[in-house]
Amino acid sequence: MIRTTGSRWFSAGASVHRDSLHAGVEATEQAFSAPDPKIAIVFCSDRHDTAAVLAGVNRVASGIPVVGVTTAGEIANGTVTDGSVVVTAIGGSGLDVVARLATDIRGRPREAGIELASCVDPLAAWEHRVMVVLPDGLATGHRDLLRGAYSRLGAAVPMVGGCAADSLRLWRTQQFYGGEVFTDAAVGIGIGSSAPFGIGVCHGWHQVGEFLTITKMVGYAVTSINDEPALDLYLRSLDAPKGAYEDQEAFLNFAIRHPLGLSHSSGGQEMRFIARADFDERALVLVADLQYGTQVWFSSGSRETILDAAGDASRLAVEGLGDREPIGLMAFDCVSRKHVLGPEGVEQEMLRITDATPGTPISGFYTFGEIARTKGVNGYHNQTLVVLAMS
Amino acid sequence: MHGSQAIKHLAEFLAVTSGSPDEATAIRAAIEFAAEILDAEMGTVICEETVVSLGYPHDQVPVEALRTAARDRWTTIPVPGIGECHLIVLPLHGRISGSMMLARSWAGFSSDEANLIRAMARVLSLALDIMRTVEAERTLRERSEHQATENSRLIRSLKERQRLVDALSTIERAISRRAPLQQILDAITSGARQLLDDDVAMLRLIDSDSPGHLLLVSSDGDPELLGEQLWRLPMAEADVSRLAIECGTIAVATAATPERRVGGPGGSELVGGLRRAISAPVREDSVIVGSLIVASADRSREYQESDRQTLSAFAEHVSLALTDAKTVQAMHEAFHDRLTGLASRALFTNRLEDLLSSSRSTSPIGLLFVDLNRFKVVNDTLGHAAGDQLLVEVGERIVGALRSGDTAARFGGDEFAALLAHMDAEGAASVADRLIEAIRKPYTINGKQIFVNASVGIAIGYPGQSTDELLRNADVAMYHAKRYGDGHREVFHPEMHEELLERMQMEADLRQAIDQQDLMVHYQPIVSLTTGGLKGFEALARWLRPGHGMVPPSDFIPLSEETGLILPIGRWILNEACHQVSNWQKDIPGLPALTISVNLSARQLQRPDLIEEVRIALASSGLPADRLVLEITESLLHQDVDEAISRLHELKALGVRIAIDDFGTGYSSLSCLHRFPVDIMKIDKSFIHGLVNDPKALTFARTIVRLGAMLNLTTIAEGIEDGVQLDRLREARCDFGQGYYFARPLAADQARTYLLDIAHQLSVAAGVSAATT
Repeated sequence: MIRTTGSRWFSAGASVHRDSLHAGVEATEQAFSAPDPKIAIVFCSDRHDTAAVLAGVNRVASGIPVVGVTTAGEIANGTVTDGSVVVTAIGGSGLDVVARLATDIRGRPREAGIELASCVDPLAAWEHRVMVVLPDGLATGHRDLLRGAYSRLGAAVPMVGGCAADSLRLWRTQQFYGGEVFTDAAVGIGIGSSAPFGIGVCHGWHQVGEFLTITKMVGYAVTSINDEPALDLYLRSLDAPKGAYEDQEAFLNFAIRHPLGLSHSSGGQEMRFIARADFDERALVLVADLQYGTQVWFSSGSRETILDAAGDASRLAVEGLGDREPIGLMAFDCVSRKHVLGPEGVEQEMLRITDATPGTPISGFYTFGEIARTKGVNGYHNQTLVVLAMS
Repeated sequence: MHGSQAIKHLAEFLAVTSGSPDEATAIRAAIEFAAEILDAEMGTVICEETVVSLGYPHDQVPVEALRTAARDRWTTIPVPGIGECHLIVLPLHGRISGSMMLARSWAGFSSDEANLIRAMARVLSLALDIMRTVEAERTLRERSEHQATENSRLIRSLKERQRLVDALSTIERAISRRAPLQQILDAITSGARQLLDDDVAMLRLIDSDSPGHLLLVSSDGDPELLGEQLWRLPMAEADVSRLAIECGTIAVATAATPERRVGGPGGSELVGGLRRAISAPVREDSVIVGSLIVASADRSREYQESDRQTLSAFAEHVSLALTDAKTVQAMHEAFHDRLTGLASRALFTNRLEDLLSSSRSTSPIGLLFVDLNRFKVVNDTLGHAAGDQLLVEVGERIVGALRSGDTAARFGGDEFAALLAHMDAEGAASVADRLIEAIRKPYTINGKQIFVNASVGIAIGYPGQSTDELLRNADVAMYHAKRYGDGHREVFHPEMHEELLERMQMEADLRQAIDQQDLMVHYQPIVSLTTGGLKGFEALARWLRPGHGMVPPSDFIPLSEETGLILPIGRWILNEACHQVSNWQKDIPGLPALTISVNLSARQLQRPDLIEEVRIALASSGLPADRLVLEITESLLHQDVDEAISRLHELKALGVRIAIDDFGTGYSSLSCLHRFPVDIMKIDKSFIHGLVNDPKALTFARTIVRLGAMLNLTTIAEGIEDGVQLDRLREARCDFGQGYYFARPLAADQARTYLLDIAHQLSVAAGVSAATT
C-alpha cells in the first residue's frame, strides 16, 4: 500500500512467505513502488533467518539504506502477523533520510545515544525533523540512551520509536543495518521533511488509588513505595488474586494488566512494565530505572480503555499534521498490550488505528518498550502505543 | 510540587551530583536530573568559564546569550524548535561562581519548584566545592612533603564537607519521612553547631501572634551559655537575628560592650559569655520568617566563607522543613475537619468514590449518616465553645466505635458520617447501635452534665453504584431514623423515598393549614372521679387535611416538632383554648369554674418568650391564670434540666399550674417530682388499661395516686374507657379522670352543646336541691 503527495511517499509491504529470502524480496518489492526511495525499514519476526531476509531486501533495495529490527509481532496496513516480514519505504524529493548504527549499547548507552543522534546533523536544512530510535529491547539503559540523544539533538527534534523484540523468548533481539545483523545495538533514523510530522502517545491505563512515592530503588527493582515493601503495597492496593502473592507466572499475568504509572510536571505520563516480582526482597522489578522520590501510581485498564487509547494515539498523530493529509503511519505498540487484547482484540486495535485515517499505509511492530519524546526531556514508555504520522 | 516530593528529589539530586567522579560529570548529571524532574526542555549550568547546556542542538549552544540571560536574570528565553520558554535563573554559591538555569515551554515555575531549584543549585555548589577540594588535595599531594600540613588541613576540610553532606542527607531523609518538625529542627541546630564547631546554635522564628517578637524554637550546645537566652525576645533586642532577617543575607556579629547594647544589659543575643555569632535567614514559602544562629564564646573566632556556606545550607534546610510542614498542614486542613480532626466531606467523598469505583471488589460498603439531636440547644444555652467541645468528644466516641480502617467524617454542624468497607446491612446496623450507645452516654462540659443523642441513617452500596445516590440514600434513611425520635437507626430501603416525598407534601400542607388557620382544637372533658362533675378540658390539636380527612395528632405533631412548626401551632392552640374556655365561661351561665389543659412541647419550653406568650394569652382572653394547666412530658424534662426548672418556675409565678403528662413512663419519674414545680400528675393510660386484669397495673396506679396524695399533688387518670376502670380508680382515690368513658375529644361546637347540657343539668339539680331543702 502506498500514498504519495507527489514530492513525498510512504509505502508498506508485507510478506508471510516462509522462505526468508523470498519474504524479504516480496515485502520490499511491494514497498518500493515509487521512484526515489530513501530507505527501507524492516520489521521482521526472529523466527526468520534474518540474514536471508536482509539479503532479499537488499536484492531489491540495491544501494538504498536498509535498517530494521526483529519484533514480537508485525503490523502492516491494518493487519497483525507473527512470523512475517514488513518493509516500510519512504521516498521522494520532499524528504531526506539518514540512518546510523550504534553498537555495544549495553555498557555505554549515553554515548550510543549521542552517536545515533548524529543522523540528524545532515538534515539541518529541513524545516521538519524527527528521529526514529530502534534499540535492542533486551539491553539496559534506554533512558540514558535517550538522554544522550537529547543532549545532541536539543528540544527541536522529537524522538519516536520502539525497542526491538523477539517472539517472547526474551533471549535475543536483532538490529539490522545495511546487510548485517547485530544485537546489543541501536538504529537511529533521521528524517527531514518539508512537511510536518505528528506524534500520538496513549496507553489507556487509569490511575487506581492515590499518588505514591518511590522510597527505595535498587537497580531496576522498586523495593519500597511510601516506605512500605513495594510488592506488598502493590498486591494489596490492587486486591491481587491469591496466586499473584506466591507464583511468578500468576504475578506476571496480573502485573501485565496493572503497570506502574508516572506523572510528569507537564501532565505527561509514562507507564512502566513490571517484569517480575522479587518475592524475597518484596520488590517490583521494572525494565528501566526510576529515581528515589518519583511520584508513581498503580493502574488498571480494560480491553476497552486500551482499544480507546489506540484510536486516540492515531487521531492525535494525524491531528499533529494540521491541515495536511497523512501519507503514512508508523506504529510502535507494546507487546503486553497485544497479550492483554488477544488475537481478536488486536484486530479491533488495528481498526481503531486505521479509523483515524482510512486508506493510509501503516507499518509498525510490537515492541519491548516504546519511545516518544515530544515535550520535556522524558520519553521512555512501556505498555503504550506510539504513532508517528508523516505528511 | 509537593513539599515531601521536593525533598525526596533533592536527596536523589544530592546522591547524583556528589556521586559523580568529576566536575563535568556532576554538572551534566545535575542539569539532566533537574530538567527531568521539572520537565524542562532546556537546562544550563554556567560555572565560571564552563557552559553546559541541554536542549540546544549540540553545535548551536548560544553561550553568550545564556551568559547574558544569567547575568540579567531573563524570565524567558527562545529555544530552537519550541519557541519562547519560561526561564528561571538561580546563582551557584560559595567558591563556585555561576548559575543554574532551567527553561520550559509549557508553564512557568511555581514557588515550590523555584525553592527546589534553589536548593539544587546550592547542593550542586557544595558538590563542586568538594570536588575542587579533592582536586586541590591531589595536586598538593603531588607536590613536596613540606606542604603536608596544608594537605592535612584540606583533608580535614574534605572530611568536614563529607560530614556536611551526610548531615544534610540525614536531615533530608528526616523531612521526607515526615519526622516531627521539632525533631527535624533540633537535628538542624545540632548539625549546624557541630559542623561549625561552635559553642551554641539557635533557631529563632518570628512569633506569628506577635510579629515584633522572636521565639527560640530550637537550640543546641553549652547549657550554661544558652542559659541566659530568652525564649521570647523583642525583635529590637535580637541584634544578631535581626541583621539576617532584615538584610536577607548571612550576617556576622560581635558582642558589644554592655553600655552600647540597644536594649541595655541583657537585651542582646550575645549574652552569657557569647562573643561572636553568625546568622542566616530562614524562609517559609520564600518569606523570611526567622534566623539560624551559631555563636561562639571565643572572641577570636573568625567566620570563613566555608562557614557561611555551611550555615546557609542548614538554613536552607530549615526553610525546606518549615515549608514542607506547612504544606502537610495545609493538606491536612483541606482534607480534615479543623475542629474534630476527622475526615472532611471532600476526603470522605473521595474515599467513598474509591470504594465504589473498585472493579476488584464486589463486597458491600456501609455508609452511616449520624445526626445529633439537641446539639443546637447545647450551643444556644452553653455557648459555641461548649458546643465545639461536645462535637470533639462526639467525634472521638464515633472513632472509638469504628474499626481502625473505617473512615469517620464530620460534614459540618452536628452531622457526622462513617464509611465501612466490606460491611453488610446487618453489620452496619450493629455498628450504628454501638455509635448510638457511645454517643448517648452523658458528657460533662463546663462542669455540667449534658445529654445528646444521635439518629443514624444507614445505606448499603456496592461497587458501580453512584456516590451521590448512596449519600442520598443514607440521608433519607437518617431522616426516617429521626422520625422515630432520638437514638434510632434506620437502614435505607427504596420505599423510604416515597415516604419522604409524602412527608414533604404533608409538611407543605401543614404549613398551609397554619397559614390558612385550618387547624382546630378539640376539647376532652376532665371529670371529677368523686362527684362526676366537669373539672375542665384538655385542648387537643386536630387537622382536617384536604383530601385526607382528619389527621390524628400522632401523625402530624412529631412532624411539626421536627420542623419547628410546633411553635406557631402551640402558640395558636394556647390562645385559642384560653379564649374558647373564657368565652364559654362568660356565655354559659351556671358552669363551674373550668380549667383548660394545654400541652407544651420541648421546643416551646426551650424558648424564653414562652412566658410572654402565656401572659398575653391569659391577658387577652381574660382567663384567670389558675385555670390554665400546662402539661409537660417527663422526657422533655431530661433534656436541659436547669433551664427547664427555671422556666417552669417563671410560669408558676404567673399563676398557671403545671401537670406532668404520661406519668410513670419515663425512667426518672420520682426524681422529676422531686425537682420540678409540679401541681398535677397525669397517670399514663397504659396503667389504666391494665387495671381490670393486671394486678401489677392496679398496684402501680394505687401507688401513684398515694404518692400524689403524699406530695400534695392532684392526680388525673388518662384513657378511662369503662366503668370497671373508673371503679378501681375511685377506690384508689384518684382525683380526676378523662377518657372515652366520659367523652371523646369534642369539636368546639360539640363541646359547647356538652357544656350547655351540663349547665342545664346543674341548674336542674340546683332546682331539685332547692326544692328538696
